[in-house]
Amino acid sequence: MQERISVKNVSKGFGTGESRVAVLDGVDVEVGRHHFVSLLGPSGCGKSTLFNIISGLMEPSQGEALVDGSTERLGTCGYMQQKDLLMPWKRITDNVALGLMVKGTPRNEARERAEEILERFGLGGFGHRYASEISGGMRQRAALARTFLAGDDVLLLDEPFGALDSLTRLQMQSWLLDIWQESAASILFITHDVDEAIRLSDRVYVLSERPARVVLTLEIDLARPRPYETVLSAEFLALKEQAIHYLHPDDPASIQEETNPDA
Amino acid sequence: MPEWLKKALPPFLFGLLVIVGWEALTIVTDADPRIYPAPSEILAALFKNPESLLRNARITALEMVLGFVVGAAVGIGIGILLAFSKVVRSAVYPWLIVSQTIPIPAVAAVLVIWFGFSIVPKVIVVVLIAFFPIAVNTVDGLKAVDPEMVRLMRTFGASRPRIFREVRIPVAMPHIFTGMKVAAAFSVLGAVFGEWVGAKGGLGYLLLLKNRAVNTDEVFAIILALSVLGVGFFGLIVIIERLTIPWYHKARQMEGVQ
Repeated sequence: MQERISVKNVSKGFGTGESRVAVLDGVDVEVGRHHFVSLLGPSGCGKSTLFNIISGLMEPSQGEALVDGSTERLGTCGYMQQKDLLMPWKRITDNVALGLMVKGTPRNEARERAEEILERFGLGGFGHRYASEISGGMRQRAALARTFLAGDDVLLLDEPFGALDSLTRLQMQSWLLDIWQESAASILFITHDVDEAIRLSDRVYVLSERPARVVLTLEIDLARPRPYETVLSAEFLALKEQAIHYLHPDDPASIQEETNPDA
Repeated sequence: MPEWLKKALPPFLFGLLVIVGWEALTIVTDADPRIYPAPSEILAALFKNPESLLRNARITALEMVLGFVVGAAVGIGIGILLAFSKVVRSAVYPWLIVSQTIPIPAVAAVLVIWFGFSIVPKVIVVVLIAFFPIAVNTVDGLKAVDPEMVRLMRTFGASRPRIFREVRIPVAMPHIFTGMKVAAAFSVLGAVFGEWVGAKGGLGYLLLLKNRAVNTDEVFAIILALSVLGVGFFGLIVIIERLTIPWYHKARQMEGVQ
């Protein structure tokens, strides 16, 4: 079976000569059909650069990035960032339908599909509002709805819940898992929250500090569905211990920080 | 008390206070009404010859609106060129600033030599005054776009013209309206300058006539009429803004609530 996202030995640097900064150093990442995969690493380690490459906004300096076996990647992935990036001049329905419309879906059909997915995401009846008229959690769900419609079931989620308070965040994780399980989507998810990565994923890639390399690949076999309490099980804690060990190989003090999701 | 009344009451009361104080002052000091007219006399002067006032007001209003429309088109056009072409920006921007240091009445005098007493020199003066704030705000607006929003559009596979139309223009709209509101308020000034250096009609022309005749009460009545024109034009732009970009008003209201 072909991987949906396949990143092979990708390196990326910016600038030239003395001032050249290496950001990615031979990264391998694979996301299979309907898999949920997370990239876990320190802030600023180059995860977002990797997303820019996968989505087609940038080309790698070395190696290759494929979506469904092709290097023509622009327009194939739904890319969502921490900021919802809803356009305040468009109503929610038109925001959600935007990706479809840009790709040439007729306006009415795009709107109908947007209304459908809004219904499924618990935002039925809010489509005619402007982004400023709904809450932060709802905006995030609307942005995710737009991402689902825009990509061919390949989603790149860059810390989508990073700006939410921790309670809302836990709810959004459960909700995302439900949505994902009912869909055909393959998800690559960026986070620097260990609990979030393990709870959501089938596989977690732990990345080093910049230039980012994959230092650990964790296969997560925990049974699904995974309620909040999953994070307390012995299996979960064993996985978490490994991840933290590789995230902070030399610095025992920072382990304290990492267990606090707000740190 | 409804919200609009709560907002309107303080400026109304303050205005009333000033007018009453002014009226009282003319009574107490027993001022010569030809030199220092009381508000009541100005009000009376307003109705001395309403046909003349209206006829001249229509001339001035036409100059303002024509000049504003051309000025807005020129300002937005220059703004777009400046925002997107480095060559144009480096060649034109310094001259744009220099153009604003030129005293407009001086230019108006030359325009009369070129175009005579027709409406053309007045319109050009209004254009000269109106285009600048609109151009500057258009540049700011087109640059105010969140680069991440542009990247989002690119991940959808959107072309540059499409991104311009769907992202940059809407982001720039509130800025452009800010420039247009300033320009609308200043367009009265341009029309009056234009009429002062040579005209056969208009409120500015009428004001000169009455001033020479030392009909001070009528001079004030004309000033009042000019100010009504300016405020009215400003209000018209505000209404057009609300209708064109309703989302902006709503977003601002929500910010107020939170």
